[in-house]
Amino acid sequence: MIEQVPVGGGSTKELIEQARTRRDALSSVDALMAKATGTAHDVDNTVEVTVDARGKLLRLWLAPAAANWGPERLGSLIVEVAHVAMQEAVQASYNMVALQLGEDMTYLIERLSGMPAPARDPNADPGITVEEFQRRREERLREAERRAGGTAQPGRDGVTGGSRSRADDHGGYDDDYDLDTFDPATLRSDR
Amino acid sequence: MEIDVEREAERIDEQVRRTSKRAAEQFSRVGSVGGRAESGDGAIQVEVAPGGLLTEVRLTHAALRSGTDALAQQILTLAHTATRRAGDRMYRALSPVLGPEGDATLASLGYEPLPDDEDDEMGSSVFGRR
Repeated sequence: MIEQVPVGGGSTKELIEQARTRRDALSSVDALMAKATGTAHDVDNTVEVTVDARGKLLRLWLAPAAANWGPERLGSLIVEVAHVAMQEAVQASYNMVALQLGEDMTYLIERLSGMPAPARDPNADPGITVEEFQRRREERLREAERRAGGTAQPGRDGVTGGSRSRADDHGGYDDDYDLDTFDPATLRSDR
Repeated sequence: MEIDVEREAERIDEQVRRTSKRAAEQFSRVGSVGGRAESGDGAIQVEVAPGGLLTEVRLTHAALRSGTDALAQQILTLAHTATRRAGDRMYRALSPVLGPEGDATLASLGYEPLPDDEDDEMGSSVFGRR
């Protein structure tokens, strides 16, 4: 057995209390994981699968058009969608665990289970960084200023340098609704 | 709650390593611990990993004939059968390693022994419908 030397001089009573808390916390993880589910579908919306965090199939829906894939492709598509659904379920369960136990404990559980939260995947789409968000915001503001100055605008060409990420596409920035460029001075004064 | 994640993980890792070494020996004796089930006419074959994640769904043209709703329902039922079989195999592989106290843990993971009357042919009579 490996002896643990208490660090930080906590009393035995405190250590026992800590150990109890951790044990209780860990025992709730199972229940949380059992509750978490994930759902995924293919791009064409012909297959939809719901599984729990262990991968157990809870629901399978096939559109009538799913038959058009043919038996072989449909079989493997169902398996693929089930795997994505499980990733969703695992992430959902870690999100619940993290809410209850905190980030440290969640990380520990991920290490022990050998199943890191999909959100930590370094190859996953990282979304948008704060810096990137600021850069785009400044660009939008400059654009709006130019527009306000009466210069003819060549559409949104040249707004983004480099490839557009998904985050940008989902951002749905519509200049009409951009609160960043809203100037209260344009409101009619009531005095 | 402050935890030294690395150290804590290493400590439990060591315990896990010892147990998993014994478990690995068991698994090599038992072979695959996944579960399988197929429809009575063989048109649908389903394989799952322990826990129930689908690893293989093999369909024939005959499977598509009854319509997608019926197919989805059949796959679901077969997947559950396969999942219970995988749980049974996991139980049989791990129970001797973990001892009597391990049973509750195995059950909480869904690894439980199948009753004796539910043998490997369980699926056939139920899914014989064409």
